[in-house]
Amino acid sequence: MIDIFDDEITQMEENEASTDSIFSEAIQLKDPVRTLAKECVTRSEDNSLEEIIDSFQRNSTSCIILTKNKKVSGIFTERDIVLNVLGRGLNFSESTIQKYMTPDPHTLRMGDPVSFALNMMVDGGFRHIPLVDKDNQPRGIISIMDIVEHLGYVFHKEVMNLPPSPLRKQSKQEGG
Amino acid sequence: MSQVSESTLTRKDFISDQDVRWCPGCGDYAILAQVQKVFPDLGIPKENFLIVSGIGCSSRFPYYMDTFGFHSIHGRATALATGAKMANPDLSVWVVTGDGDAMSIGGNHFIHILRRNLDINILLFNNEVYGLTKGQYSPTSSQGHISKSTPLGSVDYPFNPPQLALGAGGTFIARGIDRELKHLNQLLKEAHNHSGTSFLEIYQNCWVYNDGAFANLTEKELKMETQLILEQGMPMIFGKDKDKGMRLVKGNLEVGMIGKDCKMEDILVHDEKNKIHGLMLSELTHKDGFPTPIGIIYREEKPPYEELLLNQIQKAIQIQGEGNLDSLFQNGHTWKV
Repeated sequence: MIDIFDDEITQMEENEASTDSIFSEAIQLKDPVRTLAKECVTRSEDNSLEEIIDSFQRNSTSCIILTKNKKVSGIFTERDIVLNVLGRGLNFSESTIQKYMTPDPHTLRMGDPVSFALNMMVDGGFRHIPLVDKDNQPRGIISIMDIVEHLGYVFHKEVMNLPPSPLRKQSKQEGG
Repeated sequence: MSQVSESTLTRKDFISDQDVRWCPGCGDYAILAQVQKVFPDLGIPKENFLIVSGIGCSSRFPYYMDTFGFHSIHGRATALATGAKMANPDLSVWVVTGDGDAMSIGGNHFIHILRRNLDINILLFNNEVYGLTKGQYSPTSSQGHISKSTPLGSVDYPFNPPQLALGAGGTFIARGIDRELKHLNQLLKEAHNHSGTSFLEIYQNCWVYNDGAFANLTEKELKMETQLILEQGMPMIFGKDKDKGMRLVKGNLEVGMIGKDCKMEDILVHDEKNKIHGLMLSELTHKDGFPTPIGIIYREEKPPYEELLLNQIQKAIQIQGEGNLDSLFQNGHTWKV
């Protein structure tokens, strides 16, 4: 009777004994950020708060890059809305985003290593980092969610192939 | 079919109280999660969902969804689903099957449901092995596959499920991968939206008996060179640098290097309605030197079977009246014993 489980037990033991994926295999820290970058939503810094919030809603985005003369001049995120805009009695249609954006944000180039993005996120507390070209024109964006999603992809078996909820105890002997 | 607002149901409403007993790390978990995420968004009352499965690891599925379900007999899920849909066309019927259940014992029912084009969604979890029975090769295992029943390697030529589905007259044929979750999520919605039989093959990793069967399609270093993501109206381009594309040369699909041996204008634009393209794309599965297409391979609109049959019944009733079963039985030559 015991031998009917031999295959599964052997396979599981072999898998546990094999080298665990480590973080540096999931993301080579020298990989360029372009491997994880997404397209960015950009608007002119002359837009009103109302127009910017409308852009958030239309694009289902958490971050907008602001530009002046096509170059990156600021960044505005949903966190900025909560911390700097709501509850202050502002006239959204008359206030320009320039006053409320974070000016001259830290940026990276598409070929810069992912390690720098992680450094900025951990050390600087940034959740979004605009990616620019040599003329400081926006080319994309990398967010902390992009890194988390990538980890989920790489560690698919351990992270994504999980039951709907943790198995804390077997609720029934019989079952599906 | 009655509708409910999308906000009424959530994923939690579709999680059953059963402990999920697939092997830890099985690709089926990810597929289950996506189906549980998609169902609330379809605008269908929970009581109108029916999941029918056959036999196999895939076919544990109905237990783990808090909907009506039928864990039926080997290979017959499609036949039972046909009956259920005809009895109640308002149901959103989903068949969950595997490469053994659908391509082996269930092969015959498979081709007929596609031919008939009932508005049913078929999810085929293809792990290229018989998992539940512990590792024999299946009709989709690659030639040379070494297994419990083919210790020297399979000499079988494998089935190509999308190609078989096309040949059977399928009107919606698509392929997803268990690791490409967002893509799979979108394909599930498209399958639901299609009026007719939707066939979605899902490459699913069985890490116990056939681990890594699709590694060339999912490993991060390889996947951009091996996946051809099909999008309607978009050129068929792939490669890490988007420098390769599919082109027609003397009637055959070939890979072209854009900017070297071909121009962007030479690259084929994907047309879901083109059956010839669909056949050629389905042929690329596991073909050396070619990427594997994923996404919607073919789509065609034609009336589903239940609509045609029910219309015919209505017309017959209009012409001949409702009919009476008792008088039908009593008609003609009868005698008392």
